[in-house]
Amino acid sequence: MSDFISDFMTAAGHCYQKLNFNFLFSALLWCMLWSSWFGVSEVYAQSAGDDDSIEYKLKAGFIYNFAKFTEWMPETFKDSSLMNLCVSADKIAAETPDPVFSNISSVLNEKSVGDKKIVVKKCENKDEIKSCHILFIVSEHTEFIQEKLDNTKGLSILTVGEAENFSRMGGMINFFKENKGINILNPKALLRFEVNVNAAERAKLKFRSSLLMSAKIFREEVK
Amino acid sequence: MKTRKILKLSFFNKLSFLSFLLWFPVFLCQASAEEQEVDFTAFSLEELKNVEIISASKKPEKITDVPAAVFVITQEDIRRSGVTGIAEALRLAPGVQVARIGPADWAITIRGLNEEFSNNLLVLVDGRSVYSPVFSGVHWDIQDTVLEDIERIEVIRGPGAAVWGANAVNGVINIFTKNAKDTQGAQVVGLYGTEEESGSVRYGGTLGKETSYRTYLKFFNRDRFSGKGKSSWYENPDDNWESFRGGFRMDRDSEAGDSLMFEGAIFGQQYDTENAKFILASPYYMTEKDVSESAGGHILGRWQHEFSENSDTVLQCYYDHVEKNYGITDSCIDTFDIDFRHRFRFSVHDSVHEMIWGLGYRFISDEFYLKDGTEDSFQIAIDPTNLDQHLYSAFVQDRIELVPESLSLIVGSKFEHNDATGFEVQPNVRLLWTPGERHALWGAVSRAVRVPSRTERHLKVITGILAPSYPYMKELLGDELGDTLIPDAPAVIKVLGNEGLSSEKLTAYEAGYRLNLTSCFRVDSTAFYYRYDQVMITAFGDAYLETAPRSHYVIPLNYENGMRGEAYGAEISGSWQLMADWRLTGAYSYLKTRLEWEAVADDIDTAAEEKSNPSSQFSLRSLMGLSKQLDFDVWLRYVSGLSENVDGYTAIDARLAWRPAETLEFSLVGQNLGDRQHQEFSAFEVERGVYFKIAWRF
Repeated sequence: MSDFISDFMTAAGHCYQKLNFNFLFSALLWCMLWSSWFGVSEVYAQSAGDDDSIEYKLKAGFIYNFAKFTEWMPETFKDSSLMNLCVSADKIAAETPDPVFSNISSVLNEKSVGDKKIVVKKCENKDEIKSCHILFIVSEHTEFIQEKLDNTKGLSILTVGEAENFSRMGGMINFFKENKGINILNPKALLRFEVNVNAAERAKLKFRSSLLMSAKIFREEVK
Repeated sequence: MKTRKILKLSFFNKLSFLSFLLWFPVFLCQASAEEQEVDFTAFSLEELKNVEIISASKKPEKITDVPAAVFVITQEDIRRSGVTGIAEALRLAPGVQVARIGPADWAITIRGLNEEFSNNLLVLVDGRSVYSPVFSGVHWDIQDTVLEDIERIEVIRGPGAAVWGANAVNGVINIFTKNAKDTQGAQVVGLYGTEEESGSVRYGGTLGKETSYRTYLKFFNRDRFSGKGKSSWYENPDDNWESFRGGFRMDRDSEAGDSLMFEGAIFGQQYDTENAKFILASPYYMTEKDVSESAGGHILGRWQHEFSENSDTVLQCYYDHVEKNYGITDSCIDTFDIDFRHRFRFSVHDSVHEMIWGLGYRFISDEFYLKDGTEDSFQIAIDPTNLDQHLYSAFVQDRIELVPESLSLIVGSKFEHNDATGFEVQPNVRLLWTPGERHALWGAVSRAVRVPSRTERHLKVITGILAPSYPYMKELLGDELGDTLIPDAPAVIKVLGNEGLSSEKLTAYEAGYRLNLTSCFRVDSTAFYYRYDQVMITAFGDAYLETAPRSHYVIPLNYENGMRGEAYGAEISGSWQLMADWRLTGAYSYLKTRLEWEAVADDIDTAAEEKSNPSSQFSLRSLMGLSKQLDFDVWLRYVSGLSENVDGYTAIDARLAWRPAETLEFSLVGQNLGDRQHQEFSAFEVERGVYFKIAWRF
């Protein structure tokens, strides 16, 4: 093997020397090396978590469809042509390497649903939530979710979550993952969502059939 | 002298060249990442539901998180490499030694001693083991399917015994075909070339909302090995290898968390061969032309149930039947297997555990008889001629996250009971450290065993004959027999199976490092040290006289656990996405094996064993999209020589593909373009070949 490599390298080395390319070549390389130093830190930040960032972009695509197939009360948009999508992430979710907010807004900001333009915002407190039409709660933390859901009580806000007991807590649409195959090495999963129709009815929201057809239906137990 | 020339490149030059290599991918990655941006708002809900993501919540390990040397051959790799069979596709994985021995035989192994039945490698097709416990090896000639319907091939180098069980000593090859859901509609593939021709038809449809299916038919004919070899005495046989196969797969995925899979296939094939025939009178040895036939089928069912995100089970059951000619004998093997596996996650204090446990039972029934029309032969016998074997197994493995997202420990073991050697325990310990998103370091210590096969225990076969005129007969037979030499009695060399064999044992130490510099530049490297004990080997015993059917001497070659040995080596592979549609992948592997007799102190020549594997292998592939419709792929391989008889070779494959539509592809492939022909393992020579292929889906 080493013979093979050295034959190859020698041949390559001969070529360069014959053409007197050596100097030019290395000068060019040094230039590229130094110039690349400046670009590197930025590139690293952008490519971080490349494989994972698709998840929130994909969820944004789902949310766009949710917005399309949900009917709000006519008076909700009486004096507004904007549809406010609020993203509420807890501390842990906000600190993950996958930038949730920027991924969602990169997909949805300025997109239109019917005649309404989507505006993606970060929402933390009750007042900010009041102005939302859709609230995406990025958390698996029960207390955090409950607090946000309580904030939407009595308002026509479509709540979207991604926690195991989100629907049971009164959330309307909940993302979950379905594993594709059970092999130890298989990393693939598909996104699914379940819909709590009762919760939507309480907020005077109606889902169109095209949304319900793709959903898993969650039924609240009658007490 | 050669090395000195390289040193002429100044330090300055080398440094800048290295830096260039390191930084350049970072530069180019950015561009390609941006080009691949998808607008998910243009997708419908149903389309969105089909987009695959990495499941982070459940952590079904990413490849970078697996503390083992794993390589995945994807469907795209297979398609763009131009390979036409499963055995050939394995050349795509680093550290796998693939050598074609004959028209229909391959020797494939990973980090081990290579033989036709490289007996330490476990191969699974959709969960069904195709490792034959009768011959201890894989019959590569009968492993086939529609290559376009393979989803991926996972190659695990190193002992996988803790999960997969005995005989997964040197590695596990896991072949997965696509879910029937992903093979809807019709597909026709036709291939015509200088070395082979093949065709396949597949049709997939749905039965109701949740069930999908596909059925397929495939045939091939590889009959054109007729070139004369470099060595004047050897001529490649004209083998007329013909194969037919058909099968189906059904998948049912329900929303309730159940998925069912049902799959089956039948096949039949034949090729021309030559059988050795030994006679106790002149000319003592001759060959007879013959046709080797094989046929078989299998049926497999699998039920997966998901209780929650943190708990799921798999129940799998299959039946497999293979009939195959083996020289002048005919074998018939039935296998029934049932496996259960449960995985669940739980937390103790702050650490998360992922526990997998399973139970399995396998029943193997074999029968041997002489082929129809063969006279009763003294040259081969297996005793008993039919045997039923039962194999019970259990395994348990716990993955403990010691430090969340950073350090995990895997502890597990397989427990097995087989009829040949009794109870076997095969534990392993693995540690994975991921100090950042981009780096992963792992280490493992494991123990694995290979159970002696049916042939190693019970077969008696003559492999050579010495005419009475052989000059050293007297010395060979020893003093006692040599003094009373019968003048016209030949001596035969007879391999004798040994029922008292114990299993071969391996202790393996492995370490690996993975680097994901960016999403488009990846490097994976591993190093290993193996210690083998009680290696099964044949050794000469004391000669004796036999009088039936007429007087001859027998020089026995007894199977015994006579050797111990060691192997060490390293593998490095990398992938570099230079541009959105240009990818380079490379791999280099180094292997050194050494065997020594356990009992005998004097140096018996074991060079043949040491060199049955190439010490160096190098592979470089370029996958380039010239335009949206046009692919141009080149694959260069270098494999070092085995011994004085088999030289190293360099093979070049090239593929040009044109896709006038998404569903239609024409390709022209040239294989082994480097030289007219080359040897890979035996006297058989692989020839240069060209083929044309059409793949059409509608």
